[in-house]
Amino acid sequence: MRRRPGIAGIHQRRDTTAAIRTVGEEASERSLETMRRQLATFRQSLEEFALRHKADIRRDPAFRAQFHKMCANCGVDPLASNKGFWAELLGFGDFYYELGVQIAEACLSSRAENGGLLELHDLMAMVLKRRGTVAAPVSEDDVLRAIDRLKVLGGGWSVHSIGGRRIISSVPDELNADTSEVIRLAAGGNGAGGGERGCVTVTGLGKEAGWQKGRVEQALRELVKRGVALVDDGDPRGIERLFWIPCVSPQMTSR
Amino acid sequence: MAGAFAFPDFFEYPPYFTIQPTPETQRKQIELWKSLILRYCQHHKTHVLNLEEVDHPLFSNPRCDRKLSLDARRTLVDELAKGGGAEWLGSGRTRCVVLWRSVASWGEAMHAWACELGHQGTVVTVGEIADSREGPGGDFVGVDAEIVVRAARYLEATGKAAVLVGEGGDDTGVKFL
Repeated sequence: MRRRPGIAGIHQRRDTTAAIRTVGEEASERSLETMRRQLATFRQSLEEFALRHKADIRRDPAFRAQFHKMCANCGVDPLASNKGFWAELLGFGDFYYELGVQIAEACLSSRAENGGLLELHDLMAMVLKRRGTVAAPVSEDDVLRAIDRLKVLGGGWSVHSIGGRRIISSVPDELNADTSEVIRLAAGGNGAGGGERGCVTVTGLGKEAGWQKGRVEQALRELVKRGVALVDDGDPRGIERLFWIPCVSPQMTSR
Repeated sequence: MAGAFAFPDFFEYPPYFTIQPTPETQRKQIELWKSLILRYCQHHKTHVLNLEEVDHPLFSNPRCDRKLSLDARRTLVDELAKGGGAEWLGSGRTRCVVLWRSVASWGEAMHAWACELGHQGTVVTVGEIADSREGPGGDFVGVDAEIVVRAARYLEATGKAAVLVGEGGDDTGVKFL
């Protein structure tokens, strides 16, 4: 005899599913609650930690960088607003705001000389000079964080990684693959006959990058037009025009 | 001779010895050179530059093995002249007077010099003024005749002196009033 599904069976199955769902919901609610509590505890400890080490965070750039990393790990952005608990507690708002202004000044004042590109170390040196000796010390981490804040304002702030160097751009023009490659080769001293750092020639670049002459010239024209590269017809060897890229030239750095 | 002159950083960077093709870069480059020329001449109390002096220490740097071409030097002097910082001497565009102080300021200095030495009412030749080693000192002592002539014209225009051109043309006199 074939057993047909009865009303009772259907009801029973439905009840069981509902019960399982309820239990499941309760369980996930509980674990969520636990997580929330843990995170709250974590934040509270972080706040206590921050309060306890306030002076160190302000004074010691390395310690500050570590603290930022810790904050990022538990989803706190102490720089998110100038008015929040964090900003007020640590005085970060003013600190990074001031640093941002100094960075912007350094970049703007040197733009006509380097086309708006500065290596991080040089920018650091210029910023430190502006800050003087009495201001709280800053690290590269601080400078990069302040640049992150500047990006919000627009104006084309970006940080490029070129051949192991960090190049800060304060102009909206993008670097394309070819212009970046020219800067990278120039930085390594691999783009010119003489092997001088920061200096390239059409022939040297063509050889190093494996490009046709036209492609090299196009990239260089672009860089000269933007003020990132300078021309030099004064080579006493006099074979061909040299192109110098100030942001990676040792002569123009760390002023 | 004055003490060591501190050259700016750009003086060590080869491309600054080639006039740049990009307008904004060139503007900055010319700005830097103009200021260097004025500072250098003031430091060394130089009044006249001969652009044809190939290895002039102001225009050539053996450390980075670069020198400005004659054309580049002319461009810089032209730019300097626009703001009253230089004047060409003669028509060859190879010599110029560098005015690191304005003609008016030289005029006043010369007037002060004349008053100090009691030259009012008398005629002093340009050569005598330029060769004078006396007076209140400062920049005016040992000034070039080219500056004296310009200062005298300024004083004449402001009624503080009369310029008397001699017959030979080379013994111009200044009568301080």
